[in-house]
Amino acid sequence: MARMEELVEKRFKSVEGKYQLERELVSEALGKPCIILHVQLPEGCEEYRELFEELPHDEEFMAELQEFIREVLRRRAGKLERRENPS
Amino acid sequence: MDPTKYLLGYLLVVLLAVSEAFPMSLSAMVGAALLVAFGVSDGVLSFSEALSFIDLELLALLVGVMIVVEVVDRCGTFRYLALKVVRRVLKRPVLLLVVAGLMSALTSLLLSDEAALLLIVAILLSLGKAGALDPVPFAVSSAIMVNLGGTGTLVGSVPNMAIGIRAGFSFAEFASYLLPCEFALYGVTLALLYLYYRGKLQSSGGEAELEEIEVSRVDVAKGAFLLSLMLSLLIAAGIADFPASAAALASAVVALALAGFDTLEVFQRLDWDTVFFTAAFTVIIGVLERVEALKGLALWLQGAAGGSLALASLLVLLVSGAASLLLPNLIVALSFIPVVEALPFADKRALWSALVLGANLGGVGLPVSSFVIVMTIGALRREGYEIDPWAVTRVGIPVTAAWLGFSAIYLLTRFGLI
Repeated sequence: MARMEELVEKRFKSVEGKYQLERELVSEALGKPCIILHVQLPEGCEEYRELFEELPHDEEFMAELQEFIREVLRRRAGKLERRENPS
Repeated sequence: MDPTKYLLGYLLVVLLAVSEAFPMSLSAMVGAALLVAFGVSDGVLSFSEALSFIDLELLALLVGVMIVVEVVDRCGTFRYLALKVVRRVLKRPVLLLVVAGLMSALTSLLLSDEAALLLIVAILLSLGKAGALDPVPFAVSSAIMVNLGGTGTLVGSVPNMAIGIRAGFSFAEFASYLLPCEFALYGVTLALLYLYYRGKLQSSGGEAELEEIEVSRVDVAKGAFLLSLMLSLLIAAGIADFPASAAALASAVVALALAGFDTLEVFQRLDWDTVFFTAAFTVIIGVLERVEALKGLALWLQGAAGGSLALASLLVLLVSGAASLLLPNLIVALSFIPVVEALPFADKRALWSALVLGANLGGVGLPVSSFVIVMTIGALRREGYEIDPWAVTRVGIPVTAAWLGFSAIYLLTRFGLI
């Protein structure tokens, strides 16, 4: 059983990059553009490496990240609007 | 000449390839080096003879098709078509199962299994994440259909290319023998998948109304043109009597020149592991043929068939089908080619067709032997869906048995063996 789990993980890893790319292309084609970010482990967090590597698969984290992006986008859009229409 | 050490070398390669301890290409290259060293030291062949065992025509066809497929994949033609079709049937789960299955099989008939599967699974999981459906039954069904797709054409899979070239089949001839069987198997498989999954098919469409599909129409048209060009040239190759590999390479050159993608990037994405594995494994088989190591299997098949072409075809189908349950399809195809060649029948079309069906169709019975099934399970898990790999055998084994059973009937009737 453990061998099978290993096999699934290993084989999927070999195509994971291609899968992510395909997933992003599909999302884009569906009108939901994606951006790919490469985030380094922040300094001082070296001991949390494993937790850090699990983040992309953590649904709660992804929801929080989406919320954060939503806020950033709203803030930036507001700033831009104020700059364009100062009155 | 005692072939024992050559056979042991061959078994070592097979075990290394199955264990996936190293990339398949490396395992085959180690084995090829070992067998050539045995052959040279035993005085049965020279190094230059060993090099001549590499099937350049097969490699040219393989690389040519890989380049065209990569370019077409990048053009997004299949992505566009698949999304268009899925969008229309999203709220009808049974129809979605049929459509996703057919899209999977037809895409893998023209693209590689991997490209077809990644595309269909990415679409299904995107819809799953949007709450439109439970993607598990649709994704597993699509993986099974991807394995089936590609059985019917010369360029549908690497085993087909290897068998087709050795058999001397043109593109049209290959399709005329095997495509009807593949199309009939679509119906058989979809019926079985429906029976197995009928209680689990849920697709609401929900909030996931697909918006307008945003892709470059020019790229989509380019991809369609390039694919049509390759298919036309492959058909023309059979009529004008030039090699299919020349047609594939010509299409590849046009694809690279016309599509405007970074050529080096396209080259980087080709499956070089398969290319080098094929080259090295053809050397291994060449050495085994030289020392007559595979003669035993041919003699056994000949004896068991007792001079009957029908029985010999059924045995080739079942033995290669059983072998491909456990081994990669390409190893099965390349290993059985000299066996079929050694069988004493004047007309071997039924035997070659049996080998194509056996080598292609054993692949989904067990998760260990099926790259597409394992890849699907990996993708489902990555998206948070729990699935037991062994549970897939509950659908994989009956489907494989049905495929081989139907193929046996097909071979007997198609080639007038009864």
